[in-house]
Amino acid sequence: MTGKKKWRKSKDPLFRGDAKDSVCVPNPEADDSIVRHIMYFEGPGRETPYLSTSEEYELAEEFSNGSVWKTFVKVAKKESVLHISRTELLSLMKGNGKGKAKWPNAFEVMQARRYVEQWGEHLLDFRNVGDPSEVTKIIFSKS
Amino acid sequence: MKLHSCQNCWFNGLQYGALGLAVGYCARHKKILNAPDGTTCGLHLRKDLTLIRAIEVSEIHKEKYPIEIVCRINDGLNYDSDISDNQKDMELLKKDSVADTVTDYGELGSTIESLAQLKAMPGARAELAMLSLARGYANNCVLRDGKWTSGVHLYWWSRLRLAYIPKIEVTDLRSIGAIQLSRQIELTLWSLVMLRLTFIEDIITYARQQSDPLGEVPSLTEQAALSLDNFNLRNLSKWIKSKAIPQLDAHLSRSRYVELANVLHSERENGDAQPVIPADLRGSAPLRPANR
Repeated sequence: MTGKKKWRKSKDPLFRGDAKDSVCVPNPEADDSIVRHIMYFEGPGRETPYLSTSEEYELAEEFSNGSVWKTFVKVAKKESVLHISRTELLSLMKGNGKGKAKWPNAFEVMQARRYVEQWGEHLLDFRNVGDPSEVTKIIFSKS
Repeated sequence: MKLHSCQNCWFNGLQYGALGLAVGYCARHKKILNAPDGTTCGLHLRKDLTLIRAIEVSEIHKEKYPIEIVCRINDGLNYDSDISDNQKDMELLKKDSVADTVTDYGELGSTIESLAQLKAMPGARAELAMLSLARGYANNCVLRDGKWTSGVHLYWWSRLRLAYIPKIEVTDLRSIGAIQLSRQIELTLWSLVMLRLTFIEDIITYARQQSDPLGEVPSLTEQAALSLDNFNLRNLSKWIKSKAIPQLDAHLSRSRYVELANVLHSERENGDAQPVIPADLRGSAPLRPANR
């Protein structure tokens, strides 16, 4: 049986649609609810310690403001950026969610889970990063 | 797909996520939406959220975007190429029967007639259009005359098909995302059935604000999310039949529906109007994080 190729953490890139000249700079000190981040309640300009990425270039392109950027998990890890995989996100988002995906509204957890699956979403977690502005420049390159 | 873009707005009945036509149509601005994943406006109300949350989010959204124009999310500017009301484009769009009804919404006769036409049409896209515009219709009615029963027919139509699993053809999809086609169809169907529940919940919320017994039904979207931990449609349908419908029917039976519909009809004949009742925004998770 053939189908979509499985994304491999050790080899495959993660794509991010963002501005033409730079990637949005996360705020390590911002509220770290994963559901709030995925559901994008506060819209553009919101403060978040995460950057969303996708396994698929085409999906990242849908979120682009000019460019699609890419990085690799091992490159991000070298700069203390943690990787929260799609599989991990899906396992965290059931019922009222677990860990940083815990959220008072289970329906919103469920919607966020659906988006993670449909978009092939992975998060890059900048909570341990000292200089997020510099680190985004180091880990991302134009795709 | 940006969640605050036109594809995810109540007033665009032609699209929701992966479901829909290549172009959208805004029933507020009366424009074809050529770039619905990249545009928005200050009137935006999200389809994927329950009523109270959608209103909360819209309050934040309207601080950033103008209400009078369809603009780009990126820069807040209006681009002619993003929209159209050109006659030739409208004629082409109207060749699609769902789009024909959606573009007539609010233009010819009563809006409820357009919604009744959509209800009678087969297919997931027609149901999407009905549910999406119905959310705006019910909200508008409540804001104008204060009666939750303005949406009682729409409630009843949705209640009758609540457990039915709709059909989506491959031609109904705009994209397949990061997953297999069959899985995309399953998740898209799930989102449509949840949109039914969300609409039903809108009406329950209006009823609750006006102390009607229907308002005693606890959040169905919340119950569904807590009861089902995967996106299996058959399980969702079974849950709706066994758990959701009995709760709804206990508070609004067919005989009560007929009674309410008759009262509504006679009030309309007599031109009675009720005062506007503000939405009760208490009880939801805080949207803006506390300062850290």
